[in-house]
Amino acid sequence: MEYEDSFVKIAGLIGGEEYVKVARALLNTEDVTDEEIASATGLKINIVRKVLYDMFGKALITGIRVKDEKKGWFVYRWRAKQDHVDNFIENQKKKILDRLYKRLEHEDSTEFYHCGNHDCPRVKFDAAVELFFKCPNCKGPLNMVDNSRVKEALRYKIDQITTDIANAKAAAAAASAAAEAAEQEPAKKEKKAAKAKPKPKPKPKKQVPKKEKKKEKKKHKKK
Amino acid sequence: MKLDEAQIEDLTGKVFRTIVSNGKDGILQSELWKELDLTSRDGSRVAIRLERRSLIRREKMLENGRWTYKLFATKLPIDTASVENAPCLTCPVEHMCSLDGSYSPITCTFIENWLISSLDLVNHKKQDAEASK
Repeated sequence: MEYEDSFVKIAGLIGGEEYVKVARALLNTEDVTDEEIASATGLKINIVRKVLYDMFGKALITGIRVKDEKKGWFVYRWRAKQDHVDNFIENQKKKILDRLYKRLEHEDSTEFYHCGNHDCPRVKFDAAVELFFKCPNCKGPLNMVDNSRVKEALRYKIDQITTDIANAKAAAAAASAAAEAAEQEPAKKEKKAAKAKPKPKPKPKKQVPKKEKKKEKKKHKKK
Repeated sequence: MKLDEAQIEDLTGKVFRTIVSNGKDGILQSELWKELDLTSRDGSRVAIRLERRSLIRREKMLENGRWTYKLFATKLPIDTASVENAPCLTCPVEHMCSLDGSYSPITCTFIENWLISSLDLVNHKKQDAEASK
């Protein structure tokens, strides 16, 4: 697996090579203008702008308007919203998953008829009866369609995306737990260090010189 | 040979990429040093550097009777394999896609083609793996 930043990965998914180039330029320099991106990537300025506006529309980047001191007009400086990338892809996965579930439900509950011509649409059973099993487009005979392959593909993809979402959740939980543990580590170390510190020695008792002791003993005897 | 600052920085990037490419399983320090042809002295310096930047975490473990560290990336890049080439991601009418709209997921041929081709790809991979066995 070749390492690629998540932001660049997403850019590649939504737009291909041009998006990847712009995304890399955005990561390399913070607060960059469209002209700077164009010269760094070798892409035409209109393409760079199209990509930037699309990414801005998807909330993957932010722009701030600043005055160009040389030219005197306003220019936008763009910045990647890297912390938004995870949310963006999770939302996309959920949207796609929802569509796939709807499609599977439809495929499961419906009987389809088709003439075999690629340009013609599939027809539901009710509509096929009304059409006397003749294609509304090419007038060819309509035959029942075996959609088991589509259903198998749908089930496979649903399973794959569901696992993916669950894994991402688990990874996020593990990462936050690790971060918490890392935060607590210095506190634990401090506690340990405090425990390990030697206790201050008790002050030595005042020693009475031997001569005085003898004198005291003698006094006691006399008494 | 002592490495200068630029070389260490370059090495840090390489080491990080290798750790990330091993995913959530992580990689043993010793294996990583072998893979990148590093001395344990330089390798440890780089690993500590990455740990200080919170890019990786090191877990102490016993391997073949010796104490060593296993290195894990703290944050892995998102896995996008499941939605790779999904037509919805590039669809110009995606915002109009609904069950009762003029564009619907139940009639979309792009979705169907994508699903079939990704299933085919998986089946091909399985067949290749079986053939190589």
